[in-house]
Amino acid sequence: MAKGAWIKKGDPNQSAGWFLAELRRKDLVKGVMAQKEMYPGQGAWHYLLKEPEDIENTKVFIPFMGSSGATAISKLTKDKPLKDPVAVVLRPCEVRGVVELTKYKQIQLDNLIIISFDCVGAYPRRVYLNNPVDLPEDEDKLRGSCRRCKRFTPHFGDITLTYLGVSEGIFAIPMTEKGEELLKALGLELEDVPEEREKKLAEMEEKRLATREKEFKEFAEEYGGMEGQLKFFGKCINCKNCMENCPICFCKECFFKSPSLTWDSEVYMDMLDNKGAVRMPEDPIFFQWGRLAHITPSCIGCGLCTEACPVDIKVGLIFAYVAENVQGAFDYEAGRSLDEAPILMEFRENELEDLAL
Amino acid sequence: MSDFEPKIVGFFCNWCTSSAADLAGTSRLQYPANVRPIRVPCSGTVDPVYLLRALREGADGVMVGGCHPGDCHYITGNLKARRRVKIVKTILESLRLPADRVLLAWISGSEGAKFQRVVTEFTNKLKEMGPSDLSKKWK
Ligand code: SF4
Ligand code: SF4
Ligand code: SF4
Ligand code: FES
Repeated sequence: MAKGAWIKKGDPNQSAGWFLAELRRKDLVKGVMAQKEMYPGQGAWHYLLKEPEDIENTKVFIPFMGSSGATAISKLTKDKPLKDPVAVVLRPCEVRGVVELTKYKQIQLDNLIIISFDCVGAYPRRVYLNNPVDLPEDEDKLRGSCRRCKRFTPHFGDITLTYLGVSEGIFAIPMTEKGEELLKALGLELEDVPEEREKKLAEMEEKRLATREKEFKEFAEEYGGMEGQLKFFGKCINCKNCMENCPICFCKECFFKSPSLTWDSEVYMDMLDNKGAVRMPEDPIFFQWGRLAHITPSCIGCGLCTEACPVDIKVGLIFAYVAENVQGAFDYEAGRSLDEAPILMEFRENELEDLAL
Repeated sequence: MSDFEPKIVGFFCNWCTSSAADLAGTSRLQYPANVRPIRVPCSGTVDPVYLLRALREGADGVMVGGCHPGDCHYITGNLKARRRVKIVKTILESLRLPADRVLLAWISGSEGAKFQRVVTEFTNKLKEMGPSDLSKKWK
C-alpha cells in the first residue's frame, strides 16, 4: 500500500502552496518553480520564486496551461546542472517533456526536485479567461488534450500531490527516497493513501481512454486523405506558433526556418512554370507533415500547439493521434522512462526486417 | 491511364545504390527512365522531410536506396534510414494517405540487376496506382 502525508492547510491550492513555501522556509530548497498569476484572472505562468510569501499563493492545480514547464527547465539547466536544490512543480505531461528533453541532453536533472500531481487538466485559454477558476470543475470543458490524456498521473519525479479522493486539503505521495526525506523533514507523518484515489483515477482513465479512441477515429475519418488534410490545415496562417510553443521542438537551427526553404526569384518563376500554382509564402501542409516526422517520435501530447494556434486548428489532435501510431510502431512511449532511448537515437540491426526490399 | 509515366525521386547512397545504378547502365540493363536519382553520402542522411517534400511537390513515388545492413560505411546510417522510412510510412498510413508510394531498398554496388528489378517493379506499381494526389494544392 502506497504511503503519503496529509497536508490540510485550506483548499488544494492553498495546501500545496503551504507545502512548497515550507520547503523554502526550512531551507530545503533554494527556490521553487510553480505556476503563479501575474495578475488575478489573467492566467498563471511559471515563476521561479524565492520568498515563502510569494510561494504560498502559487496555484498548482489551476486549470490553465500557457507554456511548458519542460521548456522552462531546459533554460534553467541546459548549460550547467543546478548547484542547489530547486523544487519544480509540473503537470504530468510536463514531466514527460522533462524526461524526453533529458534524453536529448537539453536538461540536466541534478538538484531538481520534481513535484507533480494527479492532473484533472486545464481549460482552453479562452474558456479560462472568460471564467477564471482555481480548480477544474467541468471535465467536458477541458482542453482536448486533457479530455483524452492517458497519462494524467506522474510516473517520474519525487513527489505526487493529489486532491482526488481526498476529503480535505491534499495528500503528498513520495516517489523517491529524496521525496520521502523531504516530507519527513517537514515533520509530516506517512500513512496509507486514501483508497478513494485509486478509484477516482481508474474512473478518469476509463473515460479518457474512450474519448481518446473516439476522437482519433473521428479525426482519421474526417481529416484523413488528401482532401481531409487540405481541409484540416486550410486556414493555417504559417505563423509557426504551434512549433514555437512545443516543448519537444528544441532545435536551435530549425529546418523550417532555414535557407533550405527560401529560393531566389527565378526558382519561384520556374515553379510557376512547372506547377502553375504555388502556395505563397510557403506550404503549410509540408510544414506540418515535416513537423509530424520530426516531433511525433517524442510528442508527449501536451496540447500546447493547439493552445498556440490563432486560427483554432487542432494541431495537438493530429500530433497526438499520429504520435500514438509512430511511437507504437517502435514500442516506445514518450516520457515513459529515462531508460528507453528515443526512437531516432537507437537503431537495431534485427528489426523492421520486412520493410526494405 | 496507360500512358501515365510516374515520377520517382530516388535518394541513393553514394557507396552502393548509386554505383548499382551506374552498373545497370554500363551493363546495358534496361530500366525505366522514371527515376530522378539524387546521390546522397549515405542513406542515413535522408531526413524524412526530403521524402515528404518530394511527395508534396509532385513525385508519384520516393525511393531510398542504401547499403545492406552491416555494410553501411557509417555503421548504422542505413538502420537510421530504415527507422525514418518506417516513421514516414506510419504518418502516411495514419493520415490515410498511400504509404506504398515510399520505398526502401538495400542495393549494393554490385547488384545492378537488383537495381533494375526494383526500379521496374516500383514504376509498374506506381503506374497501377495512378498519379499521386499528395501534391494537391486546394479542392
Ligand atoms: S495533457 Fe494530461 S497531464 Fe497535461 S495538463 Fe492535460 S490532463 Fe494534465
Ligand atoms: S506537438 Fe503539440 S502536443 Fe506534441 S509535444 Fe509538441 S506542443 Fe505538445
Ligand atoms: S499555430 Fe496554427 S496557424 Fe500557426 S503555423 Fe501552427 S497550425 Fe498554422
Ligand atoms: S554508406 Fe550506404 S547506407 Fe550508409
